[in-house]
Order: sequence, then C-alpha cells, then structure tokens
Amino acid sequence: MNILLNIFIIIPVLLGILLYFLPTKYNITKIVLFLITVSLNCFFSIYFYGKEILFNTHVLFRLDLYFRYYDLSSFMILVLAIIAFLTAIYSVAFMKKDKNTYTFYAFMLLALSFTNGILLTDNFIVLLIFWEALMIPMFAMIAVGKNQAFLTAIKTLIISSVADLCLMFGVMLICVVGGSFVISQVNIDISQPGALFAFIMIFLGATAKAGAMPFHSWIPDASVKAPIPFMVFIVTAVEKILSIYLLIRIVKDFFVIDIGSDISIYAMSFGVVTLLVANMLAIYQKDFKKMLSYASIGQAGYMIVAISSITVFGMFAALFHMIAHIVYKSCLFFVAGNIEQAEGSTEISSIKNNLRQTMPYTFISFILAGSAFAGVPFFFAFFSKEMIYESAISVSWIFYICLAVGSLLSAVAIMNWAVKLFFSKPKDKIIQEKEVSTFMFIPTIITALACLMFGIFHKVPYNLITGIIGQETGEHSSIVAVILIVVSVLVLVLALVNNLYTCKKSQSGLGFVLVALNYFKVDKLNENKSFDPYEIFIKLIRKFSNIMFVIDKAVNYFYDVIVPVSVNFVSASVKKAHNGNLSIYLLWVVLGIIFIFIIF
Amino acid sequence: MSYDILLLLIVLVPVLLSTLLPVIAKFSVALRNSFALLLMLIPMFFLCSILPEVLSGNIVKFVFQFPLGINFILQADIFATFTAIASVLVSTIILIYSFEYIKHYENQNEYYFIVVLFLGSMMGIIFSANLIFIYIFWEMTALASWRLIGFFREKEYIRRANKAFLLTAIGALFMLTGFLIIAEASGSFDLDIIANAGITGGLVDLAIVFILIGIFTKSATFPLHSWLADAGIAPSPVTALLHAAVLVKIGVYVYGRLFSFVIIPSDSLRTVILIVIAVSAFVSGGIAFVEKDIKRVIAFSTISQIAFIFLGFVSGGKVAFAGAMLFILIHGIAKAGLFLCAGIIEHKVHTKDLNKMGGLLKYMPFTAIAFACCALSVMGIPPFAGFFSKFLVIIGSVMDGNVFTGFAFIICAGFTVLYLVRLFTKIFLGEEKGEFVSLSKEKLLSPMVLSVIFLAVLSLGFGLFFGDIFAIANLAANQMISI
Repeated sequence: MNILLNIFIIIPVLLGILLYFLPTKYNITKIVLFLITVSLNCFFSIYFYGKEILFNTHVLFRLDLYFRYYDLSSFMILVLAIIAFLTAIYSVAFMKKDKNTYTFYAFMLLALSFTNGILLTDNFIVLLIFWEALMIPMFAMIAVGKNQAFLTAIKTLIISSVADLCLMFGVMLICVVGGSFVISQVNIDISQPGALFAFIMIFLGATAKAGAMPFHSWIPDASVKAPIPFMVFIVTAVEKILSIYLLIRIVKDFFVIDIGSDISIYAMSFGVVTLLVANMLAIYQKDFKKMLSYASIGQAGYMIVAISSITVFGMFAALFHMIAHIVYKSCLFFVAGNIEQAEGSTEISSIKNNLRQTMPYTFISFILAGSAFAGVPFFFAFFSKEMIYESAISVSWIFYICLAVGSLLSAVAIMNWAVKLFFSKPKDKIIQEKEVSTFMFIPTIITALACLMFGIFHKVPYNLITGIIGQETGEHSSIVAVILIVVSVLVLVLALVNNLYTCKKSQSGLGFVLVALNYFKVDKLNENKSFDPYEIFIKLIRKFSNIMFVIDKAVNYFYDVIVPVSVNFVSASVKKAHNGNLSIYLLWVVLGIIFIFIIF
Repeated sequence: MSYDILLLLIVLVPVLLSTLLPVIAKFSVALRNSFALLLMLIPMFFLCSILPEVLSGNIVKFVFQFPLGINFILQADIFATFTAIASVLVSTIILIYSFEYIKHYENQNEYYFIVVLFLGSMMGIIFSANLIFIYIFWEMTALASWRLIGFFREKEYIRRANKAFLLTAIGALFMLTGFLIIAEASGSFDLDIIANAGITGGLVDLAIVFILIGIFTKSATFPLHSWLADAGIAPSPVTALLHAAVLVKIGVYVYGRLFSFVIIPSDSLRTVILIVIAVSAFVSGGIAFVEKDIKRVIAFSTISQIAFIFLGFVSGGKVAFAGAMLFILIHGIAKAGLFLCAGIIEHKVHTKDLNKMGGLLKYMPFTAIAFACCALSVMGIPPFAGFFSKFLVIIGSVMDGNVFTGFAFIICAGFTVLYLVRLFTKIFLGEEKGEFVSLSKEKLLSPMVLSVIFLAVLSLGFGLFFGDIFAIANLAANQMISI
C-alpha cells in the first residue's frame, strides 16, 4: 500500500523541492502546484480516513520499514491536512508581496510531508528522522520572515535540537529496554530499569514540541518575526498535533503507568507550571501575536495536564482540546494576520482605527474564536476544558484550582485585547473599510464558524474521538460536572466584570488581575530578558566554553613553552657539563661507575 | 590479476610512483596533476575490484616473509576495504579541489608528491596485518603530515609543523613500545597470531595504554590534541586531508582494528578510555563554541567528533562498531566539505577571523548551501548521513551498557549543533561587512565549488541510501566479531 507513502510523504517532498528550484518566471505555476498538493493531501486524508492499513517499504533510506495508518494517525493526518489547506489559501493572499513567498511554500510542503511521516511510521528510527528533519523547514520558514528573522530561526533551531536530542536518547533507551525498533511492539513497564529515564526523555521531547516550558521561548519571538501562516501551520497545528500524538502514544502504548503514580503527578505539575506562567506572561504582552503565542504555550499546558492524568478520560479531553485549540487559535492568528495587513502591525500602539468598524468580518471572527478561547459555554473549547477540569480534579483539587486560575488569566487577556482592538476610540478620524481579500477572508470565517458550530454540535468531534480513544466513562458524578460548569461560568463572569469595571476607569481592561500579578512581581519576570531559559542556557554554555578555552591555552602553553624551555635548559646544562676539560670528563666517569654500583 | 597482487598494488602504486611526480612536473604541470589524480584513481579502481570478493566474506591476503617475524602481510577484510575506499574517495575529491586552490603557490611538486605518498601510507596502515609494518607506515604518515603542515615556509608555520611531527612521532614511539610488549606476550607481530593468542592481563593493559598514547596523539584526543588546531595554518586541502579524511582517522581505525575484538582491554581500562574520550569531546566542543578562527573551530569539531568514533569502537558491541565504521566515512566526507568550504571562503575574503565575516550568503550561495549540508550532516540532523552514524554509535553504546556515556555524548551532540550553527551564522548570515561590497558572486563551474557541492550531495545521498552502506557495515562488524 505504498500509495499512502506517495501521497502523504513523497509527493509533498518532491513538490517542495521542485517549488524551491523552479525559476521565478514560473511563479503562477508554483502557486497552482502548491494549492493542488495541499488539496490532494486534504482529499486523500478524508478518503482514507478511518481505514487501518499496514504496509512496508524499502524506498525510504533503503531500509525495510513498516508504516501503520490507523485510527489515531488518520485522525491527526486529517486535522493537519485541513489546517494545511486553509493555511495555504491564506498564505497565497497574505504573502503575495513577499519576495520569499515561494521559499515558504516549498518548505511548508516539506513540513507537511515530514509531519505525515511521523504520524504514519511504525518505526522509532523513522519517527526520529522525520521529527528532527522537521527542524529544517521550521528554520527556513522562520528565516524568510522580517527584521533579521534568521536570529529567531537560529534560536528555534537550537531549542528544538536540544529537545529533539532528549527525545532521541529516550527513543534509544526505549528501543533497548523494549527490545524492538517497531513502535507497535513496544510496551514496557515504567518500573523496568531504564524505563523511567526513557519516559522522562521522551516526555520532555514531546512536550517541548508543544512549546512547554522551558523550551517555549522561541515561540513568542517567532510570532513577531515569522509570517502568520507559519504560526498557524507550524506552531498551532503541527507542533500540537505531534506533541499530543506522541504523548498519547507514550501513556497509552509505550509505557505501563499507574494512575496517580508519582511520575503522573510530576508530569501534571509540569503542565500546570507551563500553563500558569505562560498565561501570566500573556497578560503583559503589547503585541496581539505575542499574546496569542503565550496563550498557545499555556494551552499546551492544559493538554499536558490532561494526558498526564493517564486516564482514558484525560486522553479523550486532550485530543478534544487539541482540535478545539487548533481551530480557534488558527482563527485568532488569521485575525492577527488580517489586522497586520490592514494596520501594518499588531502592536497595540500602532492600531489607529476602530477595527470593529473598519474590519467587521474580522471582528465577528475574533468574537467567535475569542469566545471559544475563553471557554464560553456553547463554543468549541468549552466542552474540552470542562473535561480537562474533571480529569485534573480526579487527581487533586490543587490541579483544578491552578487550571481555573489559568482560565481566568486567558479570559482576562482575550477580553482586554477585544477592548483594545475593537472597542477603543480610533486614533484616526477617517474611517474607511479595510477588510481583507477573499482568500484571507475564507479561512478566517471558516475557522470562526467552526468555533461556534463544533461547540453547538460537539457530538461530531466527540464521536470522532470516541472512535479513536474509546468511550469515555466520565470521572465523576453529574453533580460534580455541574459544579465545575458553574465555577467556569463564574470565572468568566468575574473576568467580564473585571474588564467592564476597569475599562470605565482606565484604558486597561486587566484590572485586579494585573494588580495581583504585579504584587507577585510577574511584571519583572516579563521585562527581564534574562529569564528566558534560552538566554540562561547560552550564557552557561559560553561560560563553560570559556573555561575550556583557558584549559586549552594552558595545554598549549605546556607544549609551546614549558616543553621547549625545559628541553633547552637540559640541553644547555649538559653542554656546560661537557666543556672540553679532561678532569670534568673523568669526574663524570667516576660518578657513572658509582651510579652503576648503586643500581646493581 | 589475482586479488593479492591487486592488494599489493593498492599500497605500492601510490607509495612508489608518487616519487615520479616531481620528475613529470619538469615536462608539464598539467601532466603532473593528471598523473597525481591517476595515482588516486588506480587504488580506487583496484579497491572496487577486490570489493565483491571481500563482501562475499573472503579475506584477501598478501604475505611476504621477512626475518625476525617482521612479515609484510597485507590483509583486506570488509572493515579495511571500506575504510580504504572512504579515504581514497575523500582524498581524490580533495586532490581535484587542490588543482585550483594550490596553483598560485610555490612548492607544488612537493605538495602533490607528499599527498599521494600520504595516501599510499594510509593504505599501508589500513591493510597491514603486522604491527611493525603498521608502525612503519604510521611514521611515514607523520613525515608526510610534517611536510604538508609546513607547506608555507614562514617561521611560525614551520614551528607548528615541527610540533605536529614531534608530538605524533613521540606518541608513535610509545606505541612501538606497546607493540613490543604485545609481541612479547603473544609471540608474534602478526595480528592473526595475536588474535588467536587471546592475551590478557596487567602487562597487556600496560601495552594498550602505550599504544593508546600513540593513537590519541594521531587522532588528536585531549590532552594530546594541541597539534591539530595549530595545523590549521596549512592550506585548506591539507587540513581537509589531515583533519578530516585521513590522518586523524588512522588512530581510530587502528583502535578499531586492534582493540575492538582482537586484544580486549580490561573493563576498568575501558572505563578510563570512555572517560578520556568523553572529556575530549566536551572540552573540544566547548572550545569550538568560542574560537574565532574558522579553521580552528572546524578542527576542534573534528576532535569532538573523533570521540564519537572512539565511543563506537570502545563500546565493544556490533551495532556500535558498525556505527563507528560508518562514522569514519560520513564524517570524513562532511568534514572535508567544511574544510574545503573554509578554503573557498578564505580565498574569497582573505581572512580566517570569524568576526570579520558576515553576510557572505549573498556572494557565495553555492558554498553556503554546501557548507550547510555538510554542517547538518556533522550535527546529525536527518536525513543527512551524519544522523545515522551518530545514532548508531550512541545507541550501540547504550546497548553495551554504557547508558551514562551515551547520555554524555548526547549532550556533546548538542554542543555540535551549537558551534556549527554559530559558525554558519557568523560566516553567511548577519550584516554584510563593508569590505565585501566589491566581491563578485561565485561561479558554480569551478573545481573548488564543484568539489564541495559533490561532498554535500554525498552527505545527503549516503543518508537517503543509508540502508545499503549499513548492510556493508553490518557485514564488517559480523566479520570482526567472528575473528
């Protein structure tokens, strides 16, 4: 069944290479080829959806490799294909004036292929190959951005490679402990020697892909420098899909872990820290795209918490939240792209118009996606967030409180931006409609409507996920579920009251949340660049390297100075002792004889 | 022609006929260059001729008896033939690159003579199955590298060439002492007899330590590495030849040949060796991150990567051995590419100082792409071939129970990414320096640019067809274990 290999992996790669090397006079052809490729990918992901296909091939790397297309991978491939299709349409219009557009298309196809490869393979080495190779298109897609974007691309490359090396080592260990390179054959108890270390390494690699701390800091930078389609396709879709896919595989297939075990608690704590810190930092951002990127990191935290609870319910919730997140966050990034094109920037200081009047459709899209993001009832993410709350509270109520605080922060942040972008007084008095072109409008409105439709008809994604994970049984009685919903609504009301009350008083809609965060010095954390784990890491490496450099100089000094000086000294001394005087020579002879007698 | 004669010719043709090169130059420089290339291609052709026989599991052997047990034995198994092909392949590309690079300098006759002699000596080491002849060829390479490093006649350069020679030659004397102890313990200098003797014990460990000193000086392992970075003053093809393709690989090859399966070091000694190579990898990786000279960065990178090859051979398992063997080929190609790219850059901007470079991507797009491909291979980013060899070496060591060493080398792999990304950024990205404005855009059709592109293509190609070369490495590992 090599047709799957051709459609999902080989054709996108070949087309990507072709697009890169085709001369500029074929630019129209490039656009057509690009759109055809992503459309075909989308079509076949729907066509093959739900089928279970096992096949092996000798084409890739001339190794005998097995691939497995089954429910989970087909679902992920489908979600990826739809987002790729929407992003492709958007990017054709968004990047039409950019001279690096075609490079972006080429590398986007490579990224699509590599991601499909990860989802399809049943071999650990191939998984690693595609996983690590994804760095190359990521690097290139950021580097085509603006204002020395290559520096961000390098940061991304370094952070990703460190995380990928963790994954690589984890995969090595799991292969050695599990005794097989075939993914579907590995199922080891966490208590086996080496298994825990393998789990930690793979867990780090997988969560880093979603942007979990401390591997997150490239995402806010990339949001400013890289093109919007990158943020939608890579950060929102690819990274989350891969991360959740691997995390589900880890807890469901690779390792046998007990619910409520220590490792589960630690992993959940890891997710909680990520979501709290990221959501706190999101509050302070002055750029809409940067806020979205921090929020995206925060949402990864929710998914990590859910999966780390090890329950079927948690996995169900994480997968549900993953699609919800991809839909509403894609829409919000599309909105950011629309605003950027109309206003030139998404920085708060450069928004001159009342966008509610100049960009009405973008405004409606924002409201729909923003409501989903905040977890408003009857919107897409509401249902998944409630499920995540349930999975958290089943382990500990402390986790639940942290998640609720995170949700409050998200709601406050998005409401604040709603006011700033769409309800503040215009700086320019002339109001003229600036709505974006149809190509950009279509993906925005489709994802926006999806936020509402999949919220109302949440049984559609629910049934899809039931087919993959199995029927969730619920963790608690319906009373607990009702209480959780009431609390969620109260959190939203609190955020809204906070916003409305403080907006009347000042331009900031952050209100008491900002005061509270400042009290805990989070503002300092935001301003202080040295908090960036990447900067700390590079600083440490530089210090270490400088020490090594000094050691090397010392070694060189030994060879270049000490050895020659010593040799010269000995040579000069021996020369002095052989000055032609017969009595001196006789003395040497006598001393020599005495020496021999002493030795023997 | 029988296989044993072919094997003899692989060594003798370059060693003996290289002396004709200065004579031919009296008639025509072009003829000399062509003849030098021919002296590379002939061994390659013969190697390819014996390859099917070797791959079928047979060992090709040439024996000539000398008195005192110093027998001239050449022996071609899969491991040796594979390493030889890797060396000749990279050396040939370096030679083609030299045609353009070296043509402006003096002492060209000496250069070509020594380069070909060097390759012949390398073939001698690879195929020799007698410790004394390994030593003789070993010293021949030391002499050749001495002349090559001292290609430019400035006083400081000569001092550095002397340093390289003295360090490696003194190391070789230690190695000879070790060989003598081994011969005393086993009763012969012949590797076959030594292998069958199954010698172990404290004295053998002492001999191994002596031999290791020689190996570590040749393969530039901390703290015996300092000559390698200093040798960066040599012309770029020379540094590529010495640092990447041939010279530094001699040490690791001899380690693999002697100590992986023939003479087994004790567990405690093996632990010490693992610590030494891990320290070497860390120290050199750290230095490469802060060095300002482009060639020194690549040289320290070599020291770091050599440690990975050692890891493969020291681990003692089949997978690690196959990985290390492939590492020799793949790293040789990629690192030669980096050094040759450095040569093109140096020719273009007349400096080796990284702080004086930047934004060269615009003027040297082909070199930049080739450099990036080779760097990605050395970093171990798939689908480039370097990923596979690094993966095999580390997983092999984990399989052999060296989990923490494997983890340490994962961190070293992280260092590799750091310093090579920094290197690429400093050279090709960032702000253009004012003095580069007058630079013309490079042409694709020049031997130098084509050479590096070919090496970049090989770095990718060996990755895409990894299964085939892995099959050969696997056969070699099985053959070595059966010894």
